[in-house]
Amino acid sequence: MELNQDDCNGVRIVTLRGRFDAHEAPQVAAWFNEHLDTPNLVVNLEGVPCVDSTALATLVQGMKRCRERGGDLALAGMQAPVRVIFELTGLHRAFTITPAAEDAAASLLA
Amino acid sequence: MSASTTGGIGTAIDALRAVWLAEGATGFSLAETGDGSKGRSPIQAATPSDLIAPLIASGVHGELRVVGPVTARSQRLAGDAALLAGRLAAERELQQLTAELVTRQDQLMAVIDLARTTRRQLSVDPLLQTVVAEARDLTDANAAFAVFEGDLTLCIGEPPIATTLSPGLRALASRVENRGRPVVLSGGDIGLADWGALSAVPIPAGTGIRGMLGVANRGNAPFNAGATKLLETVGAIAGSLIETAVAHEQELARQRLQREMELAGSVQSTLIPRVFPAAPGIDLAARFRPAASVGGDFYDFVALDGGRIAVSVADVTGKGMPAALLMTMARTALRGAVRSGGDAAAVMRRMADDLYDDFSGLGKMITVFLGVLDPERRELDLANCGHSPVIHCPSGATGYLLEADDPPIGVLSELSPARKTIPLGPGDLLVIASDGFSEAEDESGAFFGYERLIAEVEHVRDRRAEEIADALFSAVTRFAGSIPQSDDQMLVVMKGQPE
Repeated sequence: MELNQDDCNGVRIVTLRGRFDAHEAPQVAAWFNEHLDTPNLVVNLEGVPCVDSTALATLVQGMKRCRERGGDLALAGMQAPVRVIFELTGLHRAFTITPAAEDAAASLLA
Repeated sequence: MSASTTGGIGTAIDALRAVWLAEGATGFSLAETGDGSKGRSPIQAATPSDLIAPLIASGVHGELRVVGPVTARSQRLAGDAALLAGRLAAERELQQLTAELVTRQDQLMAVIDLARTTRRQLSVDPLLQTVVAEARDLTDANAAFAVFEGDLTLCIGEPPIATTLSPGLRALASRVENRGRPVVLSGGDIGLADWGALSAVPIPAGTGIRGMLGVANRGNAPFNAGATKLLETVGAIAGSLIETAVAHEQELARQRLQREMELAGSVQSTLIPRVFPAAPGIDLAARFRPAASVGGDFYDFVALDGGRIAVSVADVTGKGMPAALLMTMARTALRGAVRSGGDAAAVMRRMADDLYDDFSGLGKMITVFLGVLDPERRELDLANCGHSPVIHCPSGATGYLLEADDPPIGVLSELSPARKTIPLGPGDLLVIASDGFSEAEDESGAFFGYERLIAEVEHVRDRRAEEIADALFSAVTRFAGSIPQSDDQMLVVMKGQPE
């Protein structure tokens, strides 16, 4: 899975491309660790066709850390199969979810 | 033709001289011409009547000279020269063999010594320390050092050659490791001008060279071939001992992990009930197949008043002993919450309150499906925190996935007050599985997934609960093929029996 980083008005965005599962989760966890100083993060899931429970756990951890620092983690660009998983597990209630990364960044700054 | 050959050659020359003198010669001598300085007999002035025969042996040039009134005996003198040459060659060979023998003996002593002192050491660092000390002693060097796996492991000497891995030493280590052969050089070549002579050899461990062992002297005289050969032997021994030590450490780690998994597995199997309470009118089956690394899934049945039964299925994040501990914590909280009464949503809220701080603090979460089964009313009152897949097949309608009311416990500190009741009349079916089913992978890396699971359930929905459970396990086993199970697989099947 590829990770690409971007910045939008002080909000850091990581764009993921490829399957996000137990093998790839440590990469994303490491990225979160590198950005402990930034309270507002966006994970762009446009290029992610599926996630598993380890991926969900990693995103939850990232989100909680952001909230502890007074910010938030938003998820953008979810593909339909991934959206389904979030709804089945009730996790869509736990995250700020937007269609596009720019909207996510804007909503975090609002 | 040095002092050490006095015995053999000297006797032979004396014997030959005696014969020549007896036949009228006045002098018989051997003079070295090609091999430097040590002439043995005084040379008298050559006169035209002297007989001379060249003597060539093992690259040494000399000549036999007979002085005096003997004539036409040059053939005999040549014969004597050949004899002496052969003798010299033999003596030289003997010298070399002796020297080699001494070297071999030194090496053997080194091997025995090293083996003895390192016999009890099964970890790498103490081993390297001993090896470096032995290297210095055996070669009588001022200092010794070892670089292993890119680190300057040890350096001894007064003073030691370095305290950190300098670029020069690092380059030397690369060179030795790539060549796989010793390198003899002067310290000035690698920025260590105080050290006139260095000798460095590889430490071969495993399938490649992993380090370098070296010795150094302050003086300029280079280490000779014998010392380097000895060092090379020590390096080879070190490599083989390190291989053993590393294998030992890996085996210990593997055993520790296995013990942890066994312990976690026995905790898990203690928590999971083998006996199901009777629920008249409800066909109940529960099946569990743990993965090799224990995954934190469990189910539970608690008998309540009025013949009701609390059925729960849960999945903790993580594996091994940590997951087992969290499972235990969760089951205790669950049972406590269940016994305090109330509907499924109330029980869930109580359980979540109990666990939230600990789970959240640990960065963990737990999915929980809780159903309070009322066989008399043929109803299931349910609450679900993040658990999936849960497949509901109402009688006469297509199966669909039931959504959780809230995220897993540990994610949010507050739960929504949702409650839901579904009927379990004749033909109504509920299958609660763990994600070990939907996330099972096949050889191509594809997931079993939700669609396939629903399709399988639909296919067998008319069978009895036990048979449905069997069929689902067979389906996922077939799908996975040769890929080993990586997560626990758990199923609870509840079906309303016909009137």
